[in-house]
Amino acid sequence: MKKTLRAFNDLGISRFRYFLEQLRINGNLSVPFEYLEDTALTTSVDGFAEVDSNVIFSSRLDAGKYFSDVLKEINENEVENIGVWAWLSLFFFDQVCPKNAKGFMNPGQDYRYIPAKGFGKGAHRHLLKIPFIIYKLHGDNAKVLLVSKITKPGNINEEIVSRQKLITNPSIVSVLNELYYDKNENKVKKGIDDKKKILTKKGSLRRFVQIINQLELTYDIYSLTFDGLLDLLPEEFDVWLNN
Amino acid sequence: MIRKFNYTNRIKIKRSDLFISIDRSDRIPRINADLRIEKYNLPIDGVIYIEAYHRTKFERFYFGTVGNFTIPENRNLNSFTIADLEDIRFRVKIVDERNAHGCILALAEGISPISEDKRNANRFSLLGVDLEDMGNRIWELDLEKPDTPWLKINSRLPDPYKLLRNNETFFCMVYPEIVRQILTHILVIIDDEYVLEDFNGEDCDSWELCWLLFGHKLSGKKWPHKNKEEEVRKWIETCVENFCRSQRIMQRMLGVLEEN
Repeated sequence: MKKTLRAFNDLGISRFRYFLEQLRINGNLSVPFEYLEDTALTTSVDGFAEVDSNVIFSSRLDAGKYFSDVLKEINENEVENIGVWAWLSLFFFDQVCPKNAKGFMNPGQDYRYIPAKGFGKGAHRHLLKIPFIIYKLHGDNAKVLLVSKITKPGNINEEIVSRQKLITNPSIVSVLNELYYDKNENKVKKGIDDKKKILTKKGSLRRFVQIINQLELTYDIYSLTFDGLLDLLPEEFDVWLNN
Repeated sequence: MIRKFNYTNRIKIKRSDLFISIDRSDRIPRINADLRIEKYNLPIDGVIYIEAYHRTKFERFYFGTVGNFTIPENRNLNSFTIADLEDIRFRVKIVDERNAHGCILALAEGISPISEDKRNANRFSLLGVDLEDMGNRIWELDLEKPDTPWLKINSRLPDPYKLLRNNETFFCMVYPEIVRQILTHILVIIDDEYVLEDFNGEDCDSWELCWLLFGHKLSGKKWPHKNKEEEVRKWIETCVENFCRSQRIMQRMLGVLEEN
């Protein structure tokens, strides 16, 4: 099913939010797709985009690529419109909130479907908008951040995307990709974080963030090339280069 | 006592020496900058970068060198929407690029642009503002961020920024409590001790010290030592009362009530 992109207005967002609340109580509710074209709940957007619910996102990378392509004709301000992303979440609801083995839907926090405003808690956790932003910033270089399923952004999303200086730096993202992305298996390498030893495990993702914070006191990290940044990393990260 | 070690010899540029503004006269806003950095004795080949940032948006501009300050032709803030410009920040870096890896010689962060009416020209914001879905609450403070305290406003409100700009009731009822909560957080809740000697006379090293100096100015007295609980409470209340007096809170509120 194809539809022209619209945006929820305040009432539409409230209704969608209310649906999510109800769905947490009864996971068997029918999804109110009729909201998508209800003119009392939605508005048109500045520009044109058509989305297709038959498109399947096998990963966050698929979603990032897809939205980068279909949203290219809409006004840049619409990309920041939370009504657009809430509308898209409902449009692709089968994928952002799939049924579990028992046939019930069990939605997570609202910010996974309706972007949180600002850069506060949850702003980096929208299931569709964040892959789009990451892909737009870094393209295929960000595979390590985008290789997971759209409903499971993973710890690497928490550690990197929530930090403005890290997610906006192309060299950092390229190095992360080189260290922690398994090209053969097309997934994040095993063991990059260990919650039990998260502060001490050498070469872990958390250590990477700590080391970058230290380097940043001395070096202009943004001007470093991929090789320049790799050069500065301590030996503890070498294990990932050969792994 | 907070003591910071500067092993890198990096120079801290005072915000009062940096004048960054946003020119909105064209369709695409662009950055303007005037830096007074001659007094820092930086090498003339130190490269000047100004970075604009807001959430996941980031742009960096080359402004020549210390010896040859150059305003770049293209300094459009292409990535930022009008809403982003409400809370955009700037970072100024002077970088030694003579070696393979550029080293930071001097830095200033968290700079707000000079506002159109220049009221907040070149000042470090004492309070950041952010929007967040907070259920049924209207506002709260986030005091856990390292850069500044953040006033969070519920994003479910129809036009939250309007509430901040034009709503006298909100200002009169909320801001005195913000002053109280922040000073209480610094002097009662957290363990660190701040001393006046940490202040270099112009720029604060931490937002906590900035707020204590703000309290010092309001109360006319230096903050008491944290182990003198009763004195601390009294000092905070004096700050709140004098804040209300200086902002004419009571008169403004009476004005609102009369209008209604």
